[in-house]
Formats: sequence, C-alpha cells, structure tokens
Amino acid sequence: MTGQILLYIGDNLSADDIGRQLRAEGLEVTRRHFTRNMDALATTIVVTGANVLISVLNAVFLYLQARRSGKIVIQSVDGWRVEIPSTTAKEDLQGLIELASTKKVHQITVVDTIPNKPDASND
Amino acid sequence: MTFDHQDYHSWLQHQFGVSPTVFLDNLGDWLEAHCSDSLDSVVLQKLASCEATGDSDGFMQLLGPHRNRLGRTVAGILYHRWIRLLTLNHLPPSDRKTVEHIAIAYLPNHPLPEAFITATPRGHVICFSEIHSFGLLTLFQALVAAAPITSIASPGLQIQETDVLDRIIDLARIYTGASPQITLKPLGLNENLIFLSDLMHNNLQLFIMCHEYSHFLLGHLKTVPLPTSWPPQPVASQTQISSSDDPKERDADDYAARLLKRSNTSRDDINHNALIFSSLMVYFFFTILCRLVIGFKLDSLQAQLERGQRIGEVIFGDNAVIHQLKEVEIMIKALDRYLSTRH
Repeated sequence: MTGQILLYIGDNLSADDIGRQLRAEGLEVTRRHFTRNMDALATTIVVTGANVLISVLNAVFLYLQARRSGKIVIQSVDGWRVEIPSTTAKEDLQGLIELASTKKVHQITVVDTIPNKPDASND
Repeated sequence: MTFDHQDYHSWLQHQFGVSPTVFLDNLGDWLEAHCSDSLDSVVLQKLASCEATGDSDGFMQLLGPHRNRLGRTVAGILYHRWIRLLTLNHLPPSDRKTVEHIAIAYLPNHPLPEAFITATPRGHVICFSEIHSFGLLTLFQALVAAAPITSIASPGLQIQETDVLDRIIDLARIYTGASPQITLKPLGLNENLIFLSDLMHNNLQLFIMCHEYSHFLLGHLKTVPLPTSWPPQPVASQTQISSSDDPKERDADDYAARLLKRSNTSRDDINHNALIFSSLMVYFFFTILCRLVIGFKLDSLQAQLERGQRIGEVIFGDNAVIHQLKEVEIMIKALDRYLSTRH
C-alpha cells in the first residue's frame, strides 16, 4: 500500500545522501531546486512509496550506520515514541521496525548525535 | 515535455505534488470560477477592482463579512492576496515596482507548514502552505483566549490557561505532521478576541511577506541561477534551508522590521510595534516547540532569542523599552509545559 512520510533531517546530516538512499529503496522523494524559508523547522523530505515506513527506516538506518552516528526518532500519532541509534544491533533494529510498523506514523526525524563535530583537519 | 514559461502551475505541481493557486491569475476570472456560488457578483467585481487599484482596506472591508461563507482554501487564497496587497502598499514606490511582478502561490495540500521562496524557470515564486496559514491563525486564537487584555475592551480569560497550553502543544503536533488527525474543539471566541488574534496573525503574515520581498530587494537571490530544465531536477545541493543566524535572514528581518515599525512617539504606535514584535516572538517560540515535538533538542532556542532581540532593537530602537504582549509569556509557558511533561 502506498503511503507518505515526512522526514525531518537535522543539522550536520546530508539530505542529498539520505535522498539517494531512499531512492535506492525504490521510494519517491520530493526535493526542491532552491528554496529559502523564513523559518523552516528543518530540512524536510517528503517520501512516498509502498511500505513506506519500513523502507524509510531501513534506508535512513543504512545512512546512519555508514556514518557511525546519529539516531532516528519515531513517534506515532498517539504519542508512542522510540529512538533508534546508529549503533543498534541488527536483530534489535528489526524488532523495532516491526513494532513501529504496527503504529500509525506520519513523520520521522533523523538527528545527529555528535554535538560538536570536529573539523576535518582534526580527524 | 516542453516547459511552458508562462506556467508556474505545472512547475509547482510537479515539484511539490500538490495543485497550487498562483496569484498572478486574473482575480476577476478566478473569483467568477470559485466564488460565484457564495458571493454576490457585485462583491466579486468590487474585490477585483480593489486589488487592481491597490485598495487593501477596501478589499478587506468587502471580504471580511463574507469570509465565513467561503471554503477554507478559497478564504486562505483571498487572505494571502490581501496580505500581498497590504505589503505592496507598505513599500516605497521604487521597491514596489521591483517586486510587484513576483508571483505568489498558495498550496492547499502541501504537507509542510511553511512560507518560502522557490525558483522556477520563469522566476521566483513566494509560496504559502495552507497548514502554515491556518496553523498560525489557530495558535493566535488560542493565545488570546488565555491572555487578559488591557488594550481593548474585553472580558479577559475565556479558557483556563492550562487548557490553552495543552491546545498549543496539540497544535504543534498537528502543524508538524506528527499527529495530523487531532481535532481541536472550536474556542467560540468573542468578537474582541477574534479581532486581536486576527491582528496578531495579520502582522506576522505581513512581516513574513515583507521579509520574502526583501530577499529580492537586497539581491539575495541573484547568486542562485534559475533552473532551466523541465521537469524540475532534484538538485539537492542547491536546496537551502536558511538558519536564524544567516546574515541574509538577518538583513531581511531588519528590512521588514524597519518597513513595518512606527516611530514609538504615541501610545498607538507603541501598541502597533508591540503587536508586530509579539507576533514574531510567538512564532519563533512556536517553531522551537515544533522542533521539540518532532524530536530535536532545545538547540535553536539561543539563536531564536537573539534573532528576536535584534528585531526588537530595530522596532523599539527609538524607545527606552521593548514592549511585548502577554501572549508571548503564554507561548513560553507552553514550551515549559511541554519540556516538563515529555518523557
């Protein structure tokens, strides 16, 4: 069944890379050419597709795993909420995704967990 | 597919997946097509005539009594046409000439709450989503219901403050898409409170419109070339979310504040300035609440406070004190309540 999810993307995370990962999962991603908002809540991607929640969670988790930081915040319309850090074990991840797929979720947020990212020169 | 340079519609529709109404449509024709069942033909003609002559007061005097007879989307479209007219009337003639050709679009089914500028092959378009517009109006209605009013005759509190705080938190959940199915009970505000909430909402929308126009007037968009391909390409690297500490946003804030402020030489002028400033502060704090609701930290608070402080200094620069309305305090209480009750 086709559905839609709003994906809010936090600072320091690459919407380009996340978008690519989502497309690789066969999802349709709405992005703009150029916009300037007076006060946007966050960079946001509108994702549409079949089994959209499971596909988005898998795609975003792959992105975070490659990055080795960050977490996904999922909350359902009735207030149920869970966080999936990039370090989550595979079996735990599948359990959380299965649990999330039983809830009504319209919006997911992905946030960085490194408060002050060091300069590349310090790596 | 060949791109028709006259057609903002197909560009926006393709880009956002929703059907927009673009404001360069002829208002007379548009009214005839969408409002002939609900409004008298004389009213329709007068509305079109007011817009053509730049008569913003006449436009709202005609529209105001009939707004309840219009559907939500039609009312929203006409409201933003009025805000555009009002904004153009605030601009000096040379600035007005520079921006009045810019198309404005209203996006009824766009899922995100936002006002933004986007580029099309024909030029830039300022867009307003319906959830942005109605969400903010609902926010101001809740706030005025809880704030005892001294500036206009009113019986004061219409609803318990804690109910208002919970209502604002629910509204943030609707606004962000976290819980879009929540329904808020009508508040049944008295006329004075409706007037005040409209006034705050109008001032905020006016500021937003001035802010967007100022990006054009200050040359902020010249560095980004207009797209030339059709259909729109997802060029993510050119997608830009402005942050509160972006110098271009600061300059646009300053321009809008200077344009809308009055001199602070009379009680009326100070009240006017307090309305603009308070509307903005409410908006900034509501944005912080929304960010919290969707899972971000309280990290944007400092930047928003500094932004508000800067705007306050522009608006009240010729006055010893920055004035703000009680509604701002209530908005801060809603933020506190969310922080103290979330798990």
